[in-house]
Amino acid sequence: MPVKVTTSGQPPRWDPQKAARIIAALVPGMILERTDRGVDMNGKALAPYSPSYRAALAAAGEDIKVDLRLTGGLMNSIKARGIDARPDGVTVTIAPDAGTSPEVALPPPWISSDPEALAHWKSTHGRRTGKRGPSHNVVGYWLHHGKGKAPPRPFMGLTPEQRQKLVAALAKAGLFG
Amino acid sequence: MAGADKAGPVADRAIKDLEALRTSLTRSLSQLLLRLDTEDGTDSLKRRQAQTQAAVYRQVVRVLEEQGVRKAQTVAGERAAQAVEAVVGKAGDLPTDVRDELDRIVKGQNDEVAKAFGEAADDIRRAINAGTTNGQSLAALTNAVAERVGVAVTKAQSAVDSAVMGAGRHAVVSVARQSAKTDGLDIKYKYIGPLDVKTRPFCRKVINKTFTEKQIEKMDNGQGLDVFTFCGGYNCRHSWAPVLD
Repeated sequence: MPVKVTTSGQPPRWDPQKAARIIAALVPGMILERTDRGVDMNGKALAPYSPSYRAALAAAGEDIKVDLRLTGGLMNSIKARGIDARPDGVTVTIAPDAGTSPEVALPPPWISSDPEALAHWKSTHGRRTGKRGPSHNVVGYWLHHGKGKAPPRPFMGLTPEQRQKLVAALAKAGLFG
Repeated sequence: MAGADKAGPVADRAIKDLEALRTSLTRSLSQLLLRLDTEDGTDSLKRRQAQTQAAVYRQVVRVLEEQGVRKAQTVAGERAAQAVEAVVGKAGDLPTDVRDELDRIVKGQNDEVAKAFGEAADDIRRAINAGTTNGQSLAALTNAVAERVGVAVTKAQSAVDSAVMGAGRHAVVSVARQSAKTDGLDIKYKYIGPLDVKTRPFCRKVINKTFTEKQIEKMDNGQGLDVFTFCGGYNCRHSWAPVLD
């Protein structure tokens, strides 16, 4: 027996601009804070750095935690780059920008075992080479998907738990009605 | 944020312009030194002992002013303003207080660029004075001058980089602050980033801690720079992450 479906009344009213504003306000911070703790968008620990990279960071006096941050240029470029708020949905594009950061020279990994060589390297090498690195969106892509021997470290996204928190915040904000 | 992806390439153009400026300045100053060295005029380096520093300094300052400070301010200032605009959109898209803050970022960066080249003028004068007193060759003097111009350009580059990074931070924070006011979200801000030997004392105190907007507005990073925008100061590696309470 065929089923007859009828619709009546108005579709629920909601505020897509408000939804877009809240997403743009919360998601970049969620990505930054979680990545800083070394956790990827699947809730797993970010793949560790290679021993040689860790040694180079340590020799340069840098923090060796896996946070995908060296100058801070990439992470500080992640923001809402586009908002499309429509009656039937919202799209907020959150991504790193297309700018670049100064290229940083790290000492060779073997040097940390030779304090005299390290001191000499530091006296003759500035931290910045004067060149620019690749654009942030390219670096972000390489980090997220992996490149060459570097494993993927998927960070541009939310964990299921973060998505639930976002939905809860949207619901609490009274989007409908 | 329409146009946010344009900010980076604009800043890169600013950096390239500053590099071109360094090359042009170094060449002009080298030509000046060569002319002073070979001419037997009042300002000749050969008559340096009898001549006060003022005459040499005047010519150096003139080169810097004609080609250095004003041009650097124009180049870096315009580019940084464009970069900031590209990050956060045009004037009509923003509330007045956010626009005022961005204007402050750009003005502050302009002042730093001018300061970098102003300091360079004094440095160059001292280098020339020391070089001529010690009987340095023209080549050594030219290298000393080029090095100081390089330092000035590096400082100017740093100012541009910091302004663009600050604009990026500001873009994230201003959206969160606006949403907190408009949408009633209880947003706080967590200070995140590296903790190592290079971390400033200010950053060390606040790292991994969460603060309200009012608390952050009262903070002082000791560099006269807004903490929301510049965190610990120039070249700071840290970020403010808006978090729900």
